[in-house]
Amino acid sequence: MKKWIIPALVVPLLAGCGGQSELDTRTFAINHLRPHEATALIEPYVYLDREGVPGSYSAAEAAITVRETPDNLDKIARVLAEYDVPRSDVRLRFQLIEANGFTDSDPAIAEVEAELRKIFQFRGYRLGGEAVVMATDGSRIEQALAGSDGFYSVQAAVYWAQADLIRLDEVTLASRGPGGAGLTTTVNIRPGQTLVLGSSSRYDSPNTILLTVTAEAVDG
Amino acid sequence: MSPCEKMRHLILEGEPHELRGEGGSPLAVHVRMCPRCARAATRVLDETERLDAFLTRDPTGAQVDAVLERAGRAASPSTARAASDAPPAARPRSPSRRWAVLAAAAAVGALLLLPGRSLPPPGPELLGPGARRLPTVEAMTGQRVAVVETDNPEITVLWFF
Repeated sequence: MKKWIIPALVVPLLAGCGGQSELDTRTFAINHLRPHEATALIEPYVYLDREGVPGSYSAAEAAITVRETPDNLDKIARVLAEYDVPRSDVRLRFQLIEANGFTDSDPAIAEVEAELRKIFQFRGYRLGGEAVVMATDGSRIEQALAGSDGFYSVQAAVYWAQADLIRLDEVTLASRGPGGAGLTTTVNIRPGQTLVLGSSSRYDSPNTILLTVTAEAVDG
Repeated sequence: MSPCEKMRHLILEGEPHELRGEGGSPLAVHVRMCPRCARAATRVLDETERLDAFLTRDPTGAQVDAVLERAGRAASPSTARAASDAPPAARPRSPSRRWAVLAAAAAVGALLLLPGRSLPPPGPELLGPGARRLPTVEAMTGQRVAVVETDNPEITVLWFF
């Protein structure tokens, strides 16, 4: 009788171990994440260094294929279902503010002007031009802005860098006249936040040019 | 955090009499006792006065640049690190001291003056709730920028030079 007890216990245990190490391959569609984002999300669930039966994955533009245990594949499916979701569109409001040479206050920029007056001692500020631009995640925007002394263009690549942070990559403000001098930088902005970008005059303008950008998330 | 590091945060906020070591506040007492912090406090006072003088005469952007640049060149790396490590929320500022704080921060260099550098593209780790916060501005190569938080938490001024 005892002879049968040990095999009866061991066989199911071995079968269980074997089941855990059995790998399966599954391909997940990626609809909204960028490939590097998707791979970073799933990496913790893929045991590349598992002895004997390492996991593996490969990512393409719109899909990621993973070889892992069924349990881990299920976890990966849950993670992707949670994070691979459409991202809100972004509404960007740009204001071109001209500083110096004026003494009046401009009610259109009252909130920003109140803060600028605490920092700089320009004699006055006025709104030169204003524009609202809608952008989808990963899109590139270009918008013309009229100043009192010419036209400017604003360009940027817009995408969500974090759950609550929008990246304006290589945002550029350039005068559209001959030479087209301007300012280029990259900023990360929270929804609801206003960034004021300024520099000593590098445009064909007697005034100092400031660009404000306010970002808002717009749910579809 | 050593007593000196803690005091260097206070130096950025200190009133002039405290920076001169006058009075009984912890900052004033420390400035009187610590020659190194006393030198830092003196530099903050000097830069504040120079900046005030410039801005009172003519506040054009070029002159703001000049003051910030000169202050930045005089920066001490060790002090700069101390300043940049401080969480912004721990250093409330009064409007009357705005320029003093800006000058002081410019003097110590790192918090406000970000040397141009290229950063890797936003990585996947940015998605999670524990992801590190990205900086407000990632200056281009050769570009420097002063980041000025305003009293309105939703408005931040970035001055490039």
